[in-house]
Amino acid sequence: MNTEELKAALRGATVELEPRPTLTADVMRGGVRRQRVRRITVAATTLVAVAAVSTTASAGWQFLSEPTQVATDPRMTKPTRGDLAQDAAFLEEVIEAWEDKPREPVDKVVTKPHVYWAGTTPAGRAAVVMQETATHETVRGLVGISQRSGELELLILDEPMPREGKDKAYKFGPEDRVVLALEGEQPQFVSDKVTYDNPDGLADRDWRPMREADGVLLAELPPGTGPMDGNVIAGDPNDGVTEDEIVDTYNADEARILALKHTYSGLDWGTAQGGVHLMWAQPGQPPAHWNDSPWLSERWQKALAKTDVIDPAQRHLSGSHTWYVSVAGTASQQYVISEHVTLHSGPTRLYAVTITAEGKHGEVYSLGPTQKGSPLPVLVTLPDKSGKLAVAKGATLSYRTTKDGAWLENVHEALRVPNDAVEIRVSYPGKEPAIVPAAR
Amino acid sequence: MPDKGDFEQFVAGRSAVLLRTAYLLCAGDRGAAEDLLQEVLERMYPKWKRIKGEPEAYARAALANASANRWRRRSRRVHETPLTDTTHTAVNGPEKEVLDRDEVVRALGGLPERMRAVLVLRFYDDLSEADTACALGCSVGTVKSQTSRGLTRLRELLDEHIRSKP
Repeated sequence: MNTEELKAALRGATVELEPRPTLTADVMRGGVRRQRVRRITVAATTLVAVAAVSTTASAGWQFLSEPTQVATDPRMTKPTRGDLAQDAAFLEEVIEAWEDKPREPVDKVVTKPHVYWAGTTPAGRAAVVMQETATHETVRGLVGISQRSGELELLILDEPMPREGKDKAYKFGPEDRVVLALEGEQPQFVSDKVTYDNPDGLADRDWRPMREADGVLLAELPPGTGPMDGNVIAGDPNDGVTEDEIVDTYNADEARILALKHTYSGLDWGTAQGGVHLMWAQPGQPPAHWNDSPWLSERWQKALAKTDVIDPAQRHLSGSHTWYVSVAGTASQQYVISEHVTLHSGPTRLYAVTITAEGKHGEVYSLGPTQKGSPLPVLVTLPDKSGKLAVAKGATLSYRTTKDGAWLENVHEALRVPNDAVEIRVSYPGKEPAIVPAAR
Repeated sequence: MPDKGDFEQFVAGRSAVLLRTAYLLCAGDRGAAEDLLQEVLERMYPKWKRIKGEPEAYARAALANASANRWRRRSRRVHETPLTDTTHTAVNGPEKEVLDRDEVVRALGGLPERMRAVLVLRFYDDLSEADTACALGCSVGTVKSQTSRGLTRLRELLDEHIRSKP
């Protein structure tokens, strides 16, 4: 391949790409929010800077006086905390590991690095290093024992993005199961997984308090926890968990995240060209907008972004989905059904979003998990209990109401199944039909 | 105060072009590309009036620099299926060209992020070596060496892929 062929291939691969319809609105909303957060941060750091200058002068912090600037994050000006705070040799190793980081932060750092915390964790000795940028933001790093090399290394470089002003939590150690969060104003809790063991299929988590360790909070997740399963919140879980309470977590083992991401957990029903595959449940008349991907996507994403039905840690959706099924309902509403793809362990889950006659999104219903390996990956009861929905991309579907009865209907991909059906026949071209119990 | 109207017009008008660069920087991961683009554009909003030169060039450079860190930054975000994960049927004919394009995008994913960014800026966005160096904050010599090594590695990856086909 020469460079001209490369150019042609790159252009050809992208020519049909268009941003989602809501991108401009999303960017404007996010931009305004960032500006507001930045103003608050700047105002706060200006006040702190005044205090820090006087403290520095009176306390004589030598390392802040040369050759760099005065730190404005109050944590930068306080003595190291943690049970290894007095271990000078370890602190020296930590700073060496920090200075030896594989890449520099995007923003220029202007203070000397400060070890905020050094202590013992279930994954061995670790430390949190902070350094301030020219824009008065604090770059942080977790130094600890690398699972790959067994050496003390910078495991996580935590730059002040994307949610400025909020501390992050770090996952490291074997399977990234040790969680470390910086001590803050709010109590912090950790959860190892989301469960759906309730009649309505609502997302639920068991939140446990984290162990205080003089400046940080520690927790250890159970063996087998997926790299993205654990979550940390800052706030009281007893009054519900809002997205603002979720603490972003960074994993030390990025390779596991990459592997997880490249093992797509969803049904992967998108078109070969990367488009969304659209279906409508037969028999009956096609619901309005069933073949309008942007229209469906906008309502689906808005509804799921607001609902309490899904895990708050997964509420932030992005991009487009690979498939939607529209299901006609009453005169006043219809359903749009698809799967919610996450990086969590376990199968993806199916949700129905109610669309009103005016075209607005309404209630969100949890319908259960997908069965990716099954010939019939989607078989769920409709929210209004009027019947079931069976979906299998590329298949022809029928049902019968007695074991030896005649097969009824013969529809493509998405079938409305009456409540009295006992079996569903799934026929893929060139394959023997599969019979699936309707009460699976 | 940023001029909201101008910025909004810029986003609405140039998002498609920038998304394509982001898509290649993310090696064909559509969800990650949209995340990356949204993040970069959001961060441009407060700085809008202070951006010198062409905003599109600024955005492109920011995309290239931010792409190297996207996994860490967005570790908790939910992403959609990467197009590179889509299973295609190996056929000849008109679809073959589409497959080749996807293979190139997939092979980009095998390159280190910085090297990938150099190739995308040079051969997709048609930036000169000097402009690429400026965008990535490195020397022209680095761009030259990364281009040369990147092309070699890309060819190796494509060859490996072809050999692995049944």
